Amino acid sequence: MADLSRERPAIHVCQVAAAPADLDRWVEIGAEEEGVPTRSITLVQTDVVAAAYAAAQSSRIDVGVGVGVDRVVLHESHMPPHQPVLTFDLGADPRRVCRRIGSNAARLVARLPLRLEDEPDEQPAFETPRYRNGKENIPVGEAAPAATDDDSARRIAEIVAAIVKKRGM
Amino acid sequence: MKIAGVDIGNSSTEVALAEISGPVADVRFLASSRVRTTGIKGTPANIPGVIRALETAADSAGIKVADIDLVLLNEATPVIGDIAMETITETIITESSMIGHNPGSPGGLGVGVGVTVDIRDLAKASAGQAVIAIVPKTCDFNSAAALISEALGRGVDVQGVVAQADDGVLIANRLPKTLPVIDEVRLIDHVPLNELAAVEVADHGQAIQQLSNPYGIATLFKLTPQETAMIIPIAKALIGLRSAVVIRTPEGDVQSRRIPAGSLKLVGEHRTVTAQMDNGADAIMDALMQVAPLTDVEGEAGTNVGGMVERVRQTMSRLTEKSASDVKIRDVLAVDCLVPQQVAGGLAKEFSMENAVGLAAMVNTDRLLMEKLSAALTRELGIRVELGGVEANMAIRGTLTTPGIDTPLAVLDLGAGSTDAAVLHKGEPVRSMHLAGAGDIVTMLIQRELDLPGSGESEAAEQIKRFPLARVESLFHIRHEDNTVRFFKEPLDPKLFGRVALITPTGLSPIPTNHTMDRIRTVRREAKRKVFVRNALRALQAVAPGGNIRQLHFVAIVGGSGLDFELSRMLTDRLAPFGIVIGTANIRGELGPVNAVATGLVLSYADARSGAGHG
Repeated sequence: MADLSRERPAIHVCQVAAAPADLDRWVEIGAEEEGVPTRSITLVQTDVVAAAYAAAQSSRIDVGVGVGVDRVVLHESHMPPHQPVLTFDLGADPRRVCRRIGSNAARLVARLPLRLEDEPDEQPAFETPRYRNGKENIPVGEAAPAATDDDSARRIAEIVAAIVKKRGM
Repeated sequence: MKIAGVDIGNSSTEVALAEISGPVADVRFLASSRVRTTGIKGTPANIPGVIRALETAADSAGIKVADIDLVLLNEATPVIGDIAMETITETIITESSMIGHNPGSPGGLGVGVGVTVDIRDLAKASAGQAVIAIVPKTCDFNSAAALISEALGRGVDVQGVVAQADDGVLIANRLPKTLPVIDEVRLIDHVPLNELAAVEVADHGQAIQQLSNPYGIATLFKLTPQETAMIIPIAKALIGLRSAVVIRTPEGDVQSRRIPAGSLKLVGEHRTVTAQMDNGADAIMDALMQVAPLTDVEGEAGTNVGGMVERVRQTMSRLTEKSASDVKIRDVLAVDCLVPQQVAGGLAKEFSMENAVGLAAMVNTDRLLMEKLSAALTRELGIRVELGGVEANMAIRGTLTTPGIDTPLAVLDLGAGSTDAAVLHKGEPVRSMHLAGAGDIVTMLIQRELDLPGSGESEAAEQIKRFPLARVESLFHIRHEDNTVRFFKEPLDPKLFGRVALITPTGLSPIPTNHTMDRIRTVRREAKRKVFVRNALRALQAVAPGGNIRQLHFVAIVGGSGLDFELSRMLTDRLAPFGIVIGTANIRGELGPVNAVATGLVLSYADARSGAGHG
């Protein structure tokens, strides 16, 4: 009889032997936020790409993630074995990177665009509106010439004042 | 002798290079070219583009530009146009009383009402108190879930959670009971504490019910009828979202302000009609029909439309070197659209769809401008330059080189800045009409309605206008607009995955937006319909005998927008019931809809020479 737990579709996550402990957990957290189930599997693999490929091959939904010593790899079972879908360096914040690849694994299953860039933490408080909206309720076409008119009027007034002064009037 | 016909358009400059020989002036075309127009049509800034176009044509003919004996320019580009767009409604939230929010993955389910409490202060909440926990991203999902679980254990009635990080599902999954959890609220610091708030998350694939209903909000917050009237804009803005937060602040106030859109006064030769912008584009176009022929347009001072008309007038006055009061607007095209605008005062970059009106306007220019340009070009090239005749006549002459075409013939020239029609009946002078609005305003509509990055002439919008769409459904296949599927041998670039992409000659190009393929397609086709189909009808009616389109027999589409992949089909659908043959011209049997005017310039020059030769 088939093992029921093996039948349930999930993203397969595996860790190569020398990889930092616990990172596969963060891959799973990334996928959990997107609502896609994951399963941690154990494979005897030292190469992270091969591990990711094997994980994808064993997954019923064809998606696998391999966590390596310095990078994390997302693979899909129809891809050529040596050509993973995504590879991220673990870098300074490996948990964050692993969470992001987990999120991408889930997005691959859900057919959503992948998050290739690390999104910046802080967005600018309020972006400047791309085009004028009614808040500045002064039509540009009217405001601009009015301002220059004022300017030129003032300048003429200044010149007149200077001449008047010079002539001692 | 070698002559070059040059047609400077709003967006492209076209050249037809030919050799004319013999007593009857036999014309042999050597080459054609099409380059981007430099500067604004009809100004000396066009010269670099003209030179490049001449060089390109000369190169492919294997001659030098200096070998050309005569350059023919189309006479007085009759019209130049400008476009503008203004929203006429706007939603403003003061005192941040709403988060209408649609994060990718909210957590949990249901509706909760309570007082907003920072998660770090949750321990101080008393048992039985209804609260909404506010979780800044400094608090990770494990701690947040632990703190909320602890509070629930003490009997605090936690009703919902608002989180800053993308942790909604993670928090919801770690709680002992199902609570609505909203996440990705970037400006969480702006959420007022100790205020009554309501949180709602709908089930997967559904939209919120309670907070998008004014009476639903009134029920949760126990509002009076007066207060209920005030929150209608909130409810309206939340329709269709999967999750939302509404916070009640005593000073809170949301307004759907109707900006005084103003009115447009259309001055005709015989009568003047004032159209209210609020009534939409159709009202303006109806008024335009009543006053035709139009002599000028005025916008109500101090309103948005006043500003729009004034801007057009300023631009035109700068270009034509006339004073602004001498610039007369000879045609307008108004189009309605819905544009997403960031809600002023929102907390998570919420957008609300606002009504806007796009306006294309056109003024007549005079022959003087083209004479200046032609003089400057003569100096620059050292080649004789002549103004070679009226553009409409040239377009007809060029179009007649299309195989299978005959008179009476109507030519529909779909350009970037204007839509022109000309009709030729044997033995009658050519009648022509130039209307405001063509490819450029279509691009602007696409850019604004889809809120694409960039200005009015955004590259992305231009590409969407030009190329068909596909959705990348897996790493190996895409689905086209017509639902057909295409598989690839090699895996596609992961950055295309899940995206809507354009099928360009250089491959798939992803569109930088989250809109669905259907939405992009609808916006694109509607923009073309609102501008091109409407203008085609207006232009043909204006030139047809007695204003009756049925009197036209052959209609040929020329111009850069004639290259559009779906436009001729859309026009055929609309015009076929009038019993006319409509199709895209094929200039000289090989060039398609472009180069009609340039070809016409060369041919009519040859006609004149052979006529002189005989006589």
